[in-house]
Order: sequence, then structure tokens, then C-alpha cells
Amino acid sequence: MTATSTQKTSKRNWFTREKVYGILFLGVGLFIAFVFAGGTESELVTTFGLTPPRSDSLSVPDLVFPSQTSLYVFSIICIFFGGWQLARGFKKVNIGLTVVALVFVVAFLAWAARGGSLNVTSLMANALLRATPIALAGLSGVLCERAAVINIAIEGMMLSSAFSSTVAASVAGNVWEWPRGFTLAFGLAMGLLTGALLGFLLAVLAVRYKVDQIVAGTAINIFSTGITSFMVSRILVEFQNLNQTPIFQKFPIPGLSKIPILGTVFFNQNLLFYLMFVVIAVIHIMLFYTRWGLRTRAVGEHPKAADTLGVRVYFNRYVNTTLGGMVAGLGGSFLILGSVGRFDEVMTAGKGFIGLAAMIFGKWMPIGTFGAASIFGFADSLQTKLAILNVPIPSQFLLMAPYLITIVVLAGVIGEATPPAADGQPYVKE
Amino acid sequence: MAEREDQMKLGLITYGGDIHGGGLAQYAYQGAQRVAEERDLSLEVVGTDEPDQVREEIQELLEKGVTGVVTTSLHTGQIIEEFVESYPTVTFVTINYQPQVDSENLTGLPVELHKVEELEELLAAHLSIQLEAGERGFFRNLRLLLLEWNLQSIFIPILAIFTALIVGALFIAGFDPEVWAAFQEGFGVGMNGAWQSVVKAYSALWNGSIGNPQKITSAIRTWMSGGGTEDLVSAFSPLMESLRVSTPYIFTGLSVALGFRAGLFNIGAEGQYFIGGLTSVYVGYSIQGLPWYIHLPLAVIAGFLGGALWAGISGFLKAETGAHEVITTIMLNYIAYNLAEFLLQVGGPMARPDDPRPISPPVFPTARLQQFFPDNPAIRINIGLFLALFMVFVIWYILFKTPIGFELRTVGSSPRAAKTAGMNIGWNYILAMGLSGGLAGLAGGHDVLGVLGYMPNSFRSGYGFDAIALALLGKSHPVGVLMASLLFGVLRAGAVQMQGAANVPVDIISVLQGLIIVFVAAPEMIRALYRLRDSGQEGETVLTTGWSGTE
Repeated sequence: MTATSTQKTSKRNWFTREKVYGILFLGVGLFIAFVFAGGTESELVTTFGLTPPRSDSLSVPDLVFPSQTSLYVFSIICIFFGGWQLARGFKKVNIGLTVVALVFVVAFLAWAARGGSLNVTSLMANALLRATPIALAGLSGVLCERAAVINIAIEGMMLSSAFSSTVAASVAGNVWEWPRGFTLAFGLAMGLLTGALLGFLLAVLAVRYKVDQIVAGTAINIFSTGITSFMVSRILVEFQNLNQTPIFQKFPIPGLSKIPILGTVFFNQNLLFYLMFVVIAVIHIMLFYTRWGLRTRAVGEHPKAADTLGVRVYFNRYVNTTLGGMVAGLGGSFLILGSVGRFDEVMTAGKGFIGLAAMIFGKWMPIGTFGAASIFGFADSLQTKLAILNVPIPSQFLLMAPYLITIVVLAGVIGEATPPAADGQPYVKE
Repeated sequence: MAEREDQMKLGLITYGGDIHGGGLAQYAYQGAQRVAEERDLSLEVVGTDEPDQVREEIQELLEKGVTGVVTTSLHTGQIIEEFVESYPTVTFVTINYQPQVDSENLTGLPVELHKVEELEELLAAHLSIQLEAGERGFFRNLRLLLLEWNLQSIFIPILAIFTALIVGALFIAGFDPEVWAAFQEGFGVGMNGAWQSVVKAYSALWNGSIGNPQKITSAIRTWMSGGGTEDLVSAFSPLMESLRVSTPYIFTGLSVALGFRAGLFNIGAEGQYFIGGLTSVYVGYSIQGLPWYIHLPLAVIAGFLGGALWAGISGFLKAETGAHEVITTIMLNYIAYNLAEFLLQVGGPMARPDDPRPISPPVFPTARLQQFFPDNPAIRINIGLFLALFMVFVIWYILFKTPIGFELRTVGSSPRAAKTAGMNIGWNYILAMGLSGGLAGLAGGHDVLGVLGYMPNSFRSGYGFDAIALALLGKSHPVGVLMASLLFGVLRAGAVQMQGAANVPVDIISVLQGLIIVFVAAPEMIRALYRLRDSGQEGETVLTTGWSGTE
């Protein structure tokens, strides 16, 4: 046992984080040179479309460049970064990592679209749309964990909310025949309510009964999976009109949606998408610029000190976890009202957990969480685009990408990310 | 046990410290007392602050025939070394004193002064393992195993299941269109309809899992009066099917329970089950011409290793980078699904050649787990059940009878204490995840080698979440897990019949599971519901840590 641990420490001294990254950068550079550029005929050109068809924005000309030459350039950039990292070292390793990752993605796209065309703008717009439920899941995690309640139940909350949104909006729209706006609002409200109820349940279990929070969250997940699947096979299969909702249509923001590229990516989406940005802003301001936020952070870092100063620790955790549940509920509703308009069994497919990874990657900050979520959204959206491009990778491996990235992110970043100090620990009042 | 009563004693020697003073002595006392209570020993405490008396006190204690002696100071530690050689059967433990004599029955436990409260846990765990080290023999171990489990409260889980069944009944009746129709005719008719609906569902559950009582009695009567055994086999076939369904539950339940014991939450048993199935089936169909006694073990071991390596990734990532196993195992689940999808797709690397279905080639008979009734393929119970029962014993033995298990449990119950004691926490995480994943892999192996004989790409079965419920319900004890698995086997096997006979979707079982976990994890709820008093005997078995568990 002792032998193993000494061996490990000595190994650590040789392979520092910096060295590993340096070798990684070099490897990426060589990979681009040999696999991407090597497998590309020199006469091919890559076209990056910048104006999507049927778009509001002013059009910009497409980006056309020779595939192979550009790939060699990308490769040289990566090799340069790798050499620099090994020889001198960047002050902040993350800068090198970000640049190399970005170059790799662009190189990959240039290679995938060799001899063809890829609309980058619509890829980005789609990425952000797919990032929305993940970001909302992550924001739910931020709210709960800033008050030191680990919310692993986001997945279940999203699933239940998606279900109740579906049924509520379908009943309002198809049975009561309400106008569309009211129907959508009603579905959304029911989704939020379901999320809030499950958030409250988690708070009761975690705060009142001091159940291990991960166990409580898992119970909520299992329960949600069971109850929604049960209702689907019992009710929705028989009454198809209860599983058919209207969806939020694209709502271009006048003026802003005309901006080339950015207009399409940010200002030509549906209302729930804009709502997500409102939620991010509200949570950010609430956490860092209000008395409530100060108290929440105190409860998350040092509940005892907060209690001594008169902060109601339990009350704070109840409120934050319930609000967190509501945000997860919004994410669940988005899956229905913001995209497909019908509920399928276990349709969240791990989005809640990916959201948690985004939260960790974003260092428990609302804006960081959104940034991380967009990476996952990008991987997700890329996977759908690549199916139609000239990529000799089996689709199953593309489908694995978001999950692989989650693992890599967790493994690579957690060392630098610090959760709230009291995260996951029940507080016992003395 | 009675004839050895006079020998079963434990001695604690404190030096210059009150056992209620909040210091080292108090926690040593609490730890020793816990062990004494658990193993039915009498605890003798000798408090002294006269240096000259210590030697005589120890001598006196040893002559009384104690099985273990614990001391709490440097000074007494030095004196104890003089006795170690002459009393080889006694377990000596010194606290905060590194023994200079190298002897098997003497150990020094280091404790940092500002983390003194961890001593209790550490000492209790250490003493338990040391005291048991001398005890050998299969039957003695088996008896201890059962005794240990009986000591745990099983009252709460039973009430939890009962309550969950009642809530489940509400769901069954509440979402039955026939019940709605009945209520439109009047309240009384409605209530009657609801009652009928629940009775119909639960009796289908019973008949589908245990067997139809009338059929069983009549079959027994036929058999008694000299008739054939066909009726008997068919009457008991639901019960045997339940046992068959229980078998993978035993493996996966043990898998999660073992993780819990080491402080790990292995939520990815499903993916490990998948990989175990893939590796088992690969060995099963790709190697031909081996005798069964080589081929079958190879295929089973392949399943174990497949699951172990898959889960080992999470263990390694947690040990090296602190990435939380809950997230990584779930992500690995999705990766495993896609991997299986890729390998088994029509024309894929592991697909059956010239077959329109996405399934693997059939496993050779030499690698099949023998079914009990080979003539009747509908009864799929096989010798995998014995393997599962054997694993219950093996895991119990590893956890509670070996130094490996002691380390795993210490790492699980108090990582800081384990670190203080010089244990390699990272390695223990990898080992625990590996064992845990291996067990889940065996479940996959059982299903392909014993039940199906090939691997389909739609192999998902919800074992991952079920296993968590099993481990919680069995209080992370192998025998408890066995009991819970038998229960779940009955529920699942019955639920399939319930769906057929009473049109209740099988997913109702997941609802029940969620409820059972909540009730077992929050026993206060059950106590409040049934107005029970807190017995204070609930053992804390489940311990998960925050995002970066390595501290």
C-alpha cells in the first residue's frame, strides 16, 4: 500500500498537469495534420455558410477557403501552442486549452465540410437552442447548491414538469379549446408548479428529514421516471389528444434580428429562449447584488455562522430549493413547449445530469453555467449536422460525444472548481 | 457462545484522561463500547494516572482473560509492548503510539488531535476486524452473517414496503378508466370499482409471482397421490420465474451496496451490466471447442472484468481528479448504450451475420449457464442463482472479514480517518468501483449466458435504479440485499403478469421503488405515520460525499 502511494507521488512529479496539456496540444496538432489534412484531397474547398436560408437577417457572403491548406494552418497553430506549453508554459493553462479546443473544433468542421458546405450560423443558433434546457438544469443546480442542497433530482423534475406541461397544454388546447397564448401559458405554469413542488419535496427530505441528499434526489428521479412512464402507458397511449401541444413559435425581435449572424443566433428564437436569459440575469443579480443572495451564499458556505447572525438557514434552503425546482421545471417545459410538443417516455435522456456537469464546469456561476451548457448544446447540435456531412464516423459515436465531453470536463475541471463549502451537508440547529 | 462467556472481555486503559472529558479517552471509550455492544463483550475500563500502577493494571486485566486491550497514550503504549509476545491471542491496539515491536497482534492507530472525534469510528472498525480475524470456519461465518443482519432493524423496511403498496394501490385505482366510469354511476359503485381494480391488480401480481394457491394445492395433491410432477412444475413456475428475475437483482444490488459501503454511489450499474453482457456474450460465441468447465468460467469472468473495467474508469477518475462518480457513471451508461448499439447493429462488429435483427450470434452451449428444466424453455431459472448466492457470501466475507473490506468500509464511513490511518483512499475508490462494476457485469453475464443465450441491443432493464433501491432496502448488507432482491424479483415478475391480466403498466413498480427509497431513507416519516418511537438503533450505512469526495 505504501509502495503504491510513493510511486504515485513520484509519477505526479514527472507528469504535471502542464506537461500533460502540452503533450495533448501537440497530439491534437499532429492529429489534425495527419488524419484531417492527410485524408483531404488538395483541390477541395470548404464552404462555411453564414446566412441561413429563410432568415430575417441581412445576408453576408459565405466563407470559402481551401480545405487542406487551412487544416495545415490549424495544425501548426496547435503544435505551436503545444511546444510553447512544454517549453515555457502558459501562465494560465486554460487559455491554451481554450484556444486549442476552439481550433480543433473549427478544423474538425472544415474537414467535415470539405468539398461541401456547412451553415455555421444555423449550427450556432441550433446549438444555443439545444443548450437552453441544459442551461436551465444547470441554473437549477446553481440555485440549490448555493444554499448547499445538492440537487441530483433535476432530471426527474424536468421529466415530471415536461409531462405536466404536456397534459396541461393539451387539455387546455384540445379539450377546452383555449386560444394558443393562454394554452401555452397554462402549460408553462403547470410545468413550473410541478418543478416547484418536487423542489419543495427535495427540500423537505433534505432539510426536515436530513436524508442523504443524493439518495433523496435519486428517489425523486426514480419516482418521476416511474410515474410519467406509468401515465404514458395508462393514459396518453389511449387518449392521443392529451399528448399534443402547441409550441412557442420563433419570435424575431424587431431590429435586432436583422444583425448578420448574431441576429439569427440570439434574436430569432422562441420566447422561452429569451426567458432563459432573463432567468440567468435574475439569478446572477439575485445571488451577487442582493441581501438575499448574500444570505444564500452564507448558508451555502458556512451555515453555522449564518445562523449565528440571524439568517434563517432552513427557510433559505427551502426557498432556494423550491425556486431551483421551478427553474428545472422551466427546463422541462421547454423540452415540450419550446421544441417538440409531445411527451415521450424518459425523454430527458440525461439532460438534467449534463446540466449538473455544466454547473460544475461553470463553477457554480449562472453565466459560467450558461457558457458550459452552450458547449454541450454545440456538441449535440453538431451531431445532428454531421449525419448529413461527409464524416466516416458511426452515428453512435457522435451520439456519445456530449456524454464523453461531460466526463472529460468533470475530470479536467473539478480540480479547479470549488463547490460551496457546506454543499450536500444537512445543517443541524443547535 | 455461552461456554466462552468468561473469556469475552475487552479492556480499555486510559491514562490521564476522563472518559467523559471530550478528549482522546472519551472517543476511545465510545469506540470500544460500540464494539463491545455489537459483539456482546463486556468492557472493562481502567483509568489511571499513576505511571507505576499501569504495568500491574495491564497484567491484572490480561489475567482476567480479555480478548482485546486498547490503550490511549504513549506511556501505556510502551508498556504494552512488553506483554505482546506473551499473549499472542490477545489483540492489542495503541492509540497515537507507533509500536516499535513488529507483531501481528499489535497495531498502532494514529489520530490527529484536531480530528479526535474520528477515533470512535476508526477504533470500532479496527477492533471488529481484528477480533474476528481469529475466528474461522464456514458455518461460524454463516451464522455470524445471519446474526449480524438480524440485529439490524427490519421493521422500517417492511413498513416502507407496506406503505408503498398502499400508495401504489391509490395509483392503480386512480388511473383506471373503468374506475372513472364506475364513479360516474355513484360514489358507492365507484368505491367498489376501485376496490375491484386494486384486488384484480394485486392478485394478478400474486399469482404471477408466487403462484396460484389453488393450482399449487391441487398439484401437490396429485403428486402425493402418485401423479406426475408436471403439474407441480407448472404450479411452481411463477415462483421459479421470480427467483430467475431475482438473480440479476442480487448481483446489481450487491454492486451498489458494496459501493455504498466504500462511500461511493454507483448509479451506473446499468451500463456496467451492459458491458458485462457484451464481454460475456463475446467470449460465449467467439470461442468454440472448449469443454464447458473452461468455457463457462471464462465467459462469466469476462462479464465480471468487463463491468469492473467500465466502472473502474469512474473509480479512477474519482481517485485521480475528484470527478463525482454519480455523474461519470451516468454518462458512462449512455456511452455504453451507444457502444452496444454500434456493436450489435445489423452488420455491426458483434452482430449475428445474415440476420435482420440487431442481436449477437448465439452463445455456444458450453458457455451457457445450465437451466434447471432444459426440456421446458419457458422456465428459465438456471445455475446463475447459485452463483448469486455464493457472491452474497463472498461479498459479505470480503467486506466484514478481510483487511480489504475493513479499508473499504473505513474509507466509506470516514475518509479522513482512513487517510490519517495511512490508507490509500484513491486506490480504495478504484478497487470498490471495480468490484462493484464487476458484480453488475455478472448480472449482464447471467442474462445473456443463462436466460437469453444471445445479446440483443435493447438490453435496457432499469437495473441501475432498481439496484439503488435494493441496496438501500437491504441496508447495504449482503443478506439484506438478498432479501430485497427476492422481494423485487417477486414484484417485477408479478408486474409483468399484472400488465397482462389487469392492464396495469409495469412502470408502477418504479413508482413503488421511489416511494420505498424515500421511506427507508427517511425513517422519521414512517415513524410519524405509524406513531412509532425512535429506537435509536438505525445504523447509518449510506454515506455519500459532496462533489469532490477525495477531500
